Amino acid sequence: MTDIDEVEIISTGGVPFYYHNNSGGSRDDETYLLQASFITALSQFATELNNGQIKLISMERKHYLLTKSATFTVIFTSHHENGPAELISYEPQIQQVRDYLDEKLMKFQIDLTNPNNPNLDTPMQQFDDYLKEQNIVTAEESYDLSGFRKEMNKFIFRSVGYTPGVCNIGRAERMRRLAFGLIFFTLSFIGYSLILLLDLSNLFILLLAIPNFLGFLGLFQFFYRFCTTNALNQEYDMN
Amino acid sequence: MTEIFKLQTTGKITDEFATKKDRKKAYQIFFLSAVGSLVLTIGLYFIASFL
Repeated sequence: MTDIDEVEIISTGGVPFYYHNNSGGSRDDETYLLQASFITALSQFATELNNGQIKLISMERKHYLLTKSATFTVIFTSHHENGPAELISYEPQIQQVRDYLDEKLMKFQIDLTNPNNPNLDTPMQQFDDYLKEQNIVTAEESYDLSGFRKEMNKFIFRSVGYTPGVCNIGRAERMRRLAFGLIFFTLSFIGYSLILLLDLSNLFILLLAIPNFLGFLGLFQFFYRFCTTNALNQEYDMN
Repeated sequence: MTEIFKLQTTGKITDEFATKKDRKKAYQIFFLSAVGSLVLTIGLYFIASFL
């Protein structure tokens, strides 16, 4: 059983279609307005791309499907927070798409919670073909899902300020690393002072290489805006 | 929407090219820190020797 609860199709002119498993009620206006601005950004991105007609964007539990011309956006989501949905009037073509999606997504019974789920490729490719067959979109080039995912990754990275090999932490994380570095330099200074004051062997100074290393590590991470742990864990944190 | 933005600002990197570049940069920082630590520690050692 697929965990899709909602299918939302947004056109450039508004929301022509919104569908929820539990129909009835209305959705949160604020959520919609905020989401609409996000969709605008995605649509702009879609128009920048030159290859393929349908674009799939998967982030956590939300899955965005765009047309190249960005005339409409299909969103799959399994969030429950918006509550039951109000059916909005829709065009016959969009109705057709919904029916197709219902059938297709139920048939494949795929787990959409994994953004990089390779099982999405087949139904999305078929959906793409379907849209072309039905003349809902016109496509001259083949759909390149993996290529699109790479492009979308770049777009997300760019929008948050993450640059591979250059910057992978935001201001808060940088300040944390500065504090980390300064703490270890302070510890090193205290250790050095104690060695001199207590007249201990100078060889003990060599032990200060450890706090010195950690101190430099913190400072370099601050100056380079780059976290080594995040890099090795293949993560970024731009908060 | 807040949640979506949160998802954007932190995340896992699946792009191979990006992870490669990140790893290279991390090793550079480790190397620079090791060199800095070595120079500083030896410097402190010599200063203590002359005092």
